[in-house]
Amino acid sequence: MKDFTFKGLGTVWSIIVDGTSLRDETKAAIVQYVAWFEKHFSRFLPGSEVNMFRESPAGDFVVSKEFALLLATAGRLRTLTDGAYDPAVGTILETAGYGGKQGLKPLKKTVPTLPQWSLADTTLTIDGPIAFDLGGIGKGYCIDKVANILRRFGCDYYLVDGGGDMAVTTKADGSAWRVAIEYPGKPDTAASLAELSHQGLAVSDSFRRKWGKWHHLIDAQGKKPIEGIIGCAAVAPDTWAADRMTSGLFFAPVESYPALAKEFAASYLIFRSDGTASVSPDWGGEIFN
Amino acid sequence: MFKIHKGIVLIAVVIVLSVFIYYRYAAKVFQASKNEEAVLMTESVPVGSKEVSAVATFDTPGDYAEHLRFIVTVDTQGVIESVKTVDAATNEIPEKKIEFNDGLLVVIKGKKLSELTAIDNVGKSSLTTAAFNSVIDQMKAQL
Repeated sequence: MKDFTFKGLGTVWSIIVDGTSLRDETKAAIVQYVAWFEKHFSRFLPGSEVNMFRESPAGDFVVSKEFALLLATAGRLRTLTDGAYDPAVGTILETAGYGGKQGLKPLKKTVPTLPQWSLADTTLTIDGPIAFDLGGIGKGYCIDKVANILRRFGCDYYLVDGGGDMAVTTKADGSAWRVAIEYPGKPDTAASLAELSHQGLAVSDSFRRKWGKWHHLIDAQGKKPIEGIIGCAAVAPDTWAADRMTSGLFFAPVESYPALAKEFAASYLIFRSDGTASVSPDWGGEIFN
Repeated sequence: MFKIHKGIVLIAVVIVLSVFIYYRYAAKVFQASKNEEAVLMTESVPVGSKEVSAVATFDTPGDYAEHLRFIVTVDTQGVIESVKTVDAATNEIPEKKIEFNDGLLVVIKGKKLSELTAIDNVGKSSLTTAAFNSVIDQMKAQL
């Protein structure tokens, strides 16, 4: 059923189109864009824009429009989570041994002071060396961009899967795509079944990239991995919103969930470590008890 | 004698007044709390599961009464399948009451993906699966 599969952003992508066939030039444009995105925004590539300020002194720097947009969005999420989410946490991840070049073993036990940054239009102001991590907002953005490319090349009905997160329209006959949502940490087990049309879905868990006592999800204020929530899924009008919603759910206190849901127009599922799950009142999918 | 009689009258007046005040005000408080008791309703829902709902009425800080309907779906084992809250009058989800729902938990046991039919795709945390797949050969080798 998959019409096209390729690797990008460290994961496997697959695209299904309905009512038309995927042309080679469309495939090429998609692969080219994802490669461009990775080159510019991957924390693992030394030449990327997120790594451009690793040795910079304090001061103002002009960044690309796309990076400014991603940083502005990250800044908004930082506000919504009261500072718990911060893309500058890339600096801390590196100290914990999760850098691009290092192995998976934590290098130091001490946690550095979180670098400060702010953005005005395309001018980034920093207080010294800083490494950004756009994890939690970058992939959803990229998936929506791939969806845009499909539309530009005449594919009106599609499902874009970027390693488990996805953007969909309807099928050619107008029906919704049926998407199972995997239970966090339990491969081959579905927690819910959602019918998606003209929506984005993001699924996130805290098992991924977990080693030692560190998760990849680090609370920038507490500077320690987030506990309690093992995973979540969000459905929103687009994948970028859904992706940011899952990040918000991990980092924001429960009291902020209604505000997050409103900000991203998202419904959600939250899986807790005690085996219980919270379901937002407007979650449209079937739940498997 | 006359003086004692006057005292009794005074006591009687106090009692009558107390009873009056009690019924005039305290009874109202009780009535209000009676309204908060849920009115249970049961509706028939297909295939083994049962949907029950209840309307709760309570006063808001804005000085008017809210009527909310809580709808709970339970399976034959009595396990909660879903919970939702709607405005009792309009059947719409009242925006400001969303926090009510967030406190409600369900237990999800999950279902084997192979048991689901006509699935177009699976949403998942990619890195878990990628990590799992990357070690599956190592695990097989240990068997």
